[in-house]
Amino acid sequence: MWFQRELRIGPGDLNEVIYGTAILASGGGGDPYLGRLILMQALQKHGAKTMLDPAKVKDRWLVVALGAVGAPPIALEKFPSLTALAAAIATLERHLGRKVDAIVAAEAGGLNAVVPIALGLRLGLPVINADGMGRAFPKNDMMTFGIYGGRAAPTAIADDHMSSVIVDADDNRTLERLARSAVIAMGGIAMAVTYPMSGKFFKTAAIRGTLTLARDIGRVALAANHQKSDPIDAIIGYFRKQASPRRYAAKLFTGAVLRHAPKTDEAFVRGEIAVENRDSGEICTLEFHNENLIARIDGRVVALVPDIITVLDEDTGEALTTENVRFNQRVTIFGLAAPEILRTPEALAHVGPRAFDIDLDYTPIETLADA
Amino acid sequence: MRVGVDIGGTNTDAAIILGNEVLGAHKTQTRDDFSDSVKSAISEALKNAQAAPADVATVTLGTTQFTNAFTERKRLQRVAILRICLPFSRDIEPMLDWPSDLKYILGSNIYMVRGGFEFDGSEAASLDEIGIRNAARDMRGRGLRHIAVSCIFSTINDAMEIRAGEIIAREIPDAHITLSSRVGRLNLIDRENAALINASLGDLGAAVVESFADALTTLGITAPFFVSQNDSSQIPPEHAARNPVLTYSSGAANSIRGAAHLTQCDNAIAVDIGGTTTDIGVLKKGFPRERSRPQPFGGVRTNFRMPDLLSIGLGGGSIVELGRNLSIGPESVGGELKSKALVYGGDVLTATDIAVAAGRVTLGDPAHLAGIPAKELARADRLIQKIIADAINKMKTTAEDIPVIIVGGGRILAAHELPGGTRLRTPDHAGVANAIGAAIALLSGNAEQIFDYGQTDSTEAIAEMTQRARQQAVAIGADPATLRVIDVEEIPVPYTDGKMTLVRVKVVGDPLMERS
Repeated sequence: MWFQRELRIGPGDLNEVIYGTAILASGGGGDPYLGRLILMQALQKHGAKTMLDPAKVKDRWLVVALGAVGAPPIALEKFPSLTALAAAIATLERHLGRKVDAIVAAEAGGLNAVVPIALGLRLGLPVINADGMGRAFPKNDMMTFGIYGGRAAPTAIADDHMSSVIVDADDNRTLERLARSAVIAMGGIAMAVTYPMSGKFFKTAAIRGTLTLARDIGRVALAANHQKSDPIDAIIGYFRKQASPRRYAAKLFTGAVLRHAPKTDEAFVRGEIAVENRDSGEICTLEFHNENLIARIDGRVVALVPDIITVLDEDTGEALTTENVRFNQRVTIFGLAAPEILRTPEALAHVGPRAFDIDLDYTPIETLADA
Repeated sequence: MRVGVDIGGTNTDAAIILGNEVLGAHKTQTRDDFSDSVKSAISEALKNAQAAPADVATVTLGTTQFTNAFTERKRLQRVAILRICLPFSRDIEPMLDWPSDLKYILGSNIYMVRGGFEFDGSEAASLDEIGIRNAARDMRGRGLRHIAVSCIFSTINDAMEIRAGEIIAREIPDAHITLSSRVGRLNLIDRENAALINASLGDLGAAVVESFADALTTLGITAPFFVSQNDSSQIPPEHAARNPVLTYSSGAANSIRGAAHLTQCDNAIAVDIGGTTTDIGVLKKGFPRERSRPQPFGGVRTNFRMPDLLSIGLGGGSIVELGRNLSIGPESVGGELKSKALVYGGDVLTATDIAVAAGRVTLGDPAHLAGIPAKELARADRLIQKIIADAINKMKTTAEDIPVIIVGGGRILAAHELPGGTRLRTPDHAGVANAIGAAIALLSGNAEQIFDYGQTDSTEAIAEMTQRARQQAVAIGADPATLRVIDVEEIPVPYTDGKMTLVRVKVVGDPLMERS
């Protein structure tokens, strides 16, 4: 239905959109609280924004993906910045000698899915209703634009001092490494504009309708919350009602956080979350690398990257980023099939379990549920 | 001996304790002039304990006055916020998601100037002293003198906030300045919100502390006194006078610790049933388990250390509807129980009436319940027990069996054994557990800093933070011999050069006392 793609986001949609993007993020994508406030301020200043249907992107357009990159604890003090993002776009435009025609979110997450909307409001640029991951991943080379043959280079990175760098590299992995060192030199948080691409290529590789999906998930979940019924059940019901391709969604586990031991590893935070269900005595463990990658219940694998594994606070129903999970917190773990475009052999080579040093073949979440 | 006082909306409770023993207690109604309530509660409790004012070693007071002022939007001051942040952090302005009534009352007097630190405490941007002076002059011109100051990473380095405070004080000599680093933790928005709330309370903190001091002087008590803070530890009066926001909610935390003290349990679930609500908290190693989510206060998000509480609308005054749609609460007759409940000759069926019918307590005249079928009353009682049992289950996070302690004036609603087999312990003096919790309050010290674990190892970093937290606790009156670490957090900071980790340590200890 075309009218569903023509999504208009105003102040009244804020909570629904943020809720939904946080659910899709698989534990990453930035703090939804910051995303909510940045978008709130932009909407207060500039009014509502109509998202551009990906089908309407012109073949000859210059499209770029963008988002905030950095350490979550630093972002709580030095907020993701639209000024820096505008500076990164200007730098890239100077480098390429042409103007950007439309922007798109690098990933689906509580912060990074909505930062482009706020920037689009400020600069008057079209914002495409799509993203490059369908969830969040830790590295730039894990975007569908890279997986399906696009070049991340040249990428522009800028900070609030208006310092900026252009990173150019032959392959996307090298670019990711170089870009990371620029973010570190900028104080642990910076804004990135990446994958300058034609509208034609964009349409072959983008994950479409991200913000509509997020808004719909948020709508059913918040309505359920309001009626004191379970928001996860409402989300599962929503996916069951979709026509094909239907995405499998399930409540994987409920319990209290027994252990949360994150460790810094250069740009990343790795670790494990263990959740205990005191009725059954079962323990569910999640391994994460910025985002949740694998869920096991008493050792049995129940979900694997790139399928989405999101931890929610049981009382508020809000999705938690991995850094916001706390010892003893009562949580529900939600699993959702990744979009088909992330489940192809090409995609799994970049974002399947082995790309994260997990020595397992990818098995879809719905197959694991049947086993 | 130590005295604890809890000034609640309905009652003011006092308790006198010596070691593990409760020597005396008294409950009185909270009057409009609350220092009268404090005086009468303490003097009656001293009488019960057969003690003299000179025997008192410490007094700790917990009060809900600041909560009432802020949530009811009473006597709040117009404020200004100076955020030291440019060129950073301008896409989320101060007070952005505050309720509009509060923005209207407090005003939207927002100033942002250049400055701020990096995560490691080094300068991110130089401080714009002229900008601060101009902002202060503008504030003065608008008649604003209640000022909050925030700065990026001020919990790591507070130098710019202190300098800004000096500049403002020079321009506005009667300014009441709140530095965010004094009232909050990492997270600029939440910390700035706490500073703004504190600024809006204006001179109320000083007024309340002064009236406490007057009440104690009138009683002839010369011992040092403290004010309970949100995490159930206590701070000296001069801190509370300047930063009352740190003490806005201590009642529930005090109840939980009081319950633990009365039963000598270190790990337990504490259920506090009042007139309108039931609060359930969890005690771990003698301290209330802390909330993991940010705590909204009067519609404003803050990140104080607070106990993790489950509040449900069940209390002694809860209104009961019988029949097919049997329901209990959340509406309550509250403080009017003694005129409205059926057993007292009133015309409202309350949860207390159900407890009387179930034979749990002898109150008023049970003959007033004669017209109601016993089956109906028994059904209502079963529902009450189920509500309590379900709420307790929700707060349990581990399978192990832990004791459940019940306190508060409405504790008579609960059976000794709940559905599912949970047994409840009702200690003596359960009605004044909150005052007992205040009496045994500890002093705390907190320190946080970011370390490179490539250069400093975890053990060293924790030792350094422990040392700093200890110094802080001793500075406010803790006995060094009793200090112990109760919380260590290590939060990784990615995208940095090295293995940066934010290390936080909290220590607590008993007050240093001249008299026991």
